[in-house]
Amino acid sequence: MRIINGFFSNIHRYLFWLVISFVVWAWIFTLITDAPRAKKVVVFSNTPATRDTELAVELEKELPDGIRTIKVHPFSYSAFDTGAPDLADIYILTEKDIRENLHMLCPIEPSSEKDLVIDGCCYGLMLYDHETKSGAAGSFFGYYPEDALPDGAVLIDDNAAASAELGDPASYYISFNKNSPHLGKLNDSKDEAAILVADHIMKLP
Amino acid sequence: MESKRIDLYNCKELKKLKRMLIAMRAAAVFIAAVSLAVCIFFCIGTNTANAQSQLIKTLIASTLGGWAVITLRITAIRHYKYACVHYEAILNGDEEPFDGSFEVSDVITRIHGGVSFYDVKALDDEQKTLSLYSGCRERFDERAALRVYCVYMFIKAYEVRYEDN
Repeated sequence: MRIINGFFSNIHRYLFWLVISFVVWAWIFTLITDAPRAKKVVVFSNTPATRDTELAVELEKELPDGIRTIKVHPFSYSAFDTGAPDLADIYILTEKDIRENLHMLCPIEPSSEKDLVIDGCCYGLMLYDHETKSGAAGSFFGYYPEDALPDGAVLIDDNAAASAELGDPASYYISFNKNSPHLGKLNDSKDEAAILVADHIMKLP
Repeated sequence: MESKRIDLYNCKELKKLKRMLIAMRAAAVFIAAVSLAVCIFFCIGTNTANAQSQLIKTLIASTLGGWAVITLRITAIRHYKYACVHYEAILNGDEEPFDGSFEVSDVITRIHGGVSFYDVKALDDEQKTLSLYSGCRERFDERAALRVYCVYMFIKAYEVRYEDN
């Protein structure tokens, strides 16, 4: 009985310790798992679904020299921090996304006819072609709108309202942030780690 | 008729309390050290694939370890610490004798930052209320007591009738 009474009269100590414990260890884990911008490559994806942890693990199997970690985030990750995508190196975007954010992207050398060229400059390398339903990294990105639904949910074709909320199917491209420190000759960066990582993504099944 | 003095406090008991206090503090330090070591172990084993699960395991180990130390502190450590301070004060204080008959109440009083005790009424002197440390309750026979010796109004020793047969 004395122990129970002691617990309730000291509950504020238990709650305080819980909060302190969470704050301290979350901060320590951020230090352990994160790296300065010069030592990491960040991928932001706007596909309906992204297996971010699995993709990061796969990409880290072939880390470029000088890179300590690779971070993969869906765009929803930046919901509370609108500045986070500005620090990314690689984007997975639709043509519409690219046109709306052209000012952030770096022009690149096209590698195929399907790459996205706008005003004479290539801004996106084809990753997934919606028309032929073919592309790379399908194991890690859900390219179809219904991929955004929870597991087990079914899209009802007759329900136009539900379909509209999920958006239309589209092709996806790999683009690069013009301010990325990992683009090599494209923007006179010290290394081309983002190029290497993008190349790796395009070879994924 | 002779009387016999019975001491409720002694140095041997005080040494035992001090040993228990040291043991409880050592246990708290041990629990904290083990908890920290487990957390560090989880941190070292962290990589991109398991970062989330390792963080959760670390939080659980840290929280439970901290709660165990807090519980030990608010129960055992405080109890022995206050008991040691009380014992030392009683053993080193000046005694004041009271004669007559005495009645121990059934209610325990606890002071924040102090020990728990029973109120003792001196039946021959309605103005006097003495105190009996709860740890000494079993050793004090109020029916046999002829005289009590008090320090800071706490009963330290008492005299009973001693018949030499």
